Amino acid sequence: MNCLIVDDDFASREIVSQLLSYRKDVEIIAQSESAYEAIEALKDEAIDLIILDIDMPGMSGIEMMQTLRNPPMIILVTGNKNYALDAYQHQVLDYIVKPVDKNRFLSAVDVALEKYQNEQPLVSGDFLFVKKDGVFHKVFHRDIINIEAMSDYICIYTSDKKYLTLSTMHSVEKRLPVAKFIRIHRSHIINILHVDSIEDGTANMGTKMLPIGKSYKQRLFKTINVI
Amino acid sequence: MILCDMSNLANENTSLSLDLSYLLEVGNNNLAFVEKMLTHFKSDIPSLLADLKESIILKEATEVKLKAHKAKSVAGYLNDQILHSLMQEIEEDGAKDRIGKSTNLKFEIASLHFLKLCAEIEAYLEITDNG
Repeated sequence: MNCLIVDDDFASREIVSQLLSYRKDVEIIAQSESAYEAIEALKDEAIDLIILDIDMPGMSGIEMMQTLRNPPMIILVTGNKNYALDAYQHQVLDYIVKPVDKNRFLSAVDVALEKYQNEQPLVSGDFLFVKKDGVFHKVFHRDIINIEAMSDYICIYTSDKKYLTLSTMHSVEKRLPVAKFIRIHRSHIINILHVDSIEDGTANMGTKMLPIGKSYKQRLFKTINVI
Repeated sequence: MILCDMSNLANENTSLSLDLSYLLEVGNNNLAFVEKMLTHFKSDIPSLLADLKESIILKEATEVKLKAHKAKSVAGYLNDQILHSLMQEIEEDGAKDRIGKSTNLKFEIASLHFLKLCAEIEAYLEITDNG
């Protein structure tokens, strides 16, 4: 489960980060010092859980939640008890007052983990179904070359077909095996099997040359087999 | 458990009133984690207090609220209830835009308390540095 920590206070981020390290199924994908930074991170990364502070300079955690169209699970961690009603209205998973109690926090994370695991598709195989023009098409993972974000849509490319469907990169990324598919850009997910070469911030895949975003480079090289 | 005892020993040997129980609990008695946090507090507290003082003088309510809020977190992590309460009150003064003499007084008391805390943090880190 991918997690984003949002807190302007370094010590608070460290505390949360330390506590999350006790759950091996949780990976901290990014830490943001402000709501603005977090909103950018959410565009780039597939986040399943946000640990969110409320009182931050510029934009508060509550204001940030209001900007999110399809928010992931959120655990609010705040030094203020007065936001409980706001939290309730935003259907957050939990509302924890600082200093965070270890057991209380880990219980909330466990609830998130359980929810996350329950949301994973029950039928897992080397394929997925893509809805296009009212028809659900079976597409095998091996046939997918790349996936591109197009505003509110994503386009899944195979060697001879393309499927334009209403979805998000976050949603499709969650449904694909991490060993084969990797996000290389805010707008591109690639199937590593179809990569011919990588050079100068570009992934060459047949006739396609797809850009590799700066923030994705490190993870890409960690994933692929480089000698 | 052993690590926890080690930390208690460190406190006993130096008669420090620094309460590390919260940090030890979060860090599963990992002293490296505790030291990392204390090192951060040691460098962060003086500038935090200076910024808060400036905002109180300038009566910048929102800034007072945010900075006191941050200092309140530090007090919480060090289990210092008095400091936590003082910062809570200063934060509320900021939230209600009522920064006055009492805010100044609360800040002065908190400041002295924080400085004592900083000295204790420094003493603790010196002990651990010297093994």
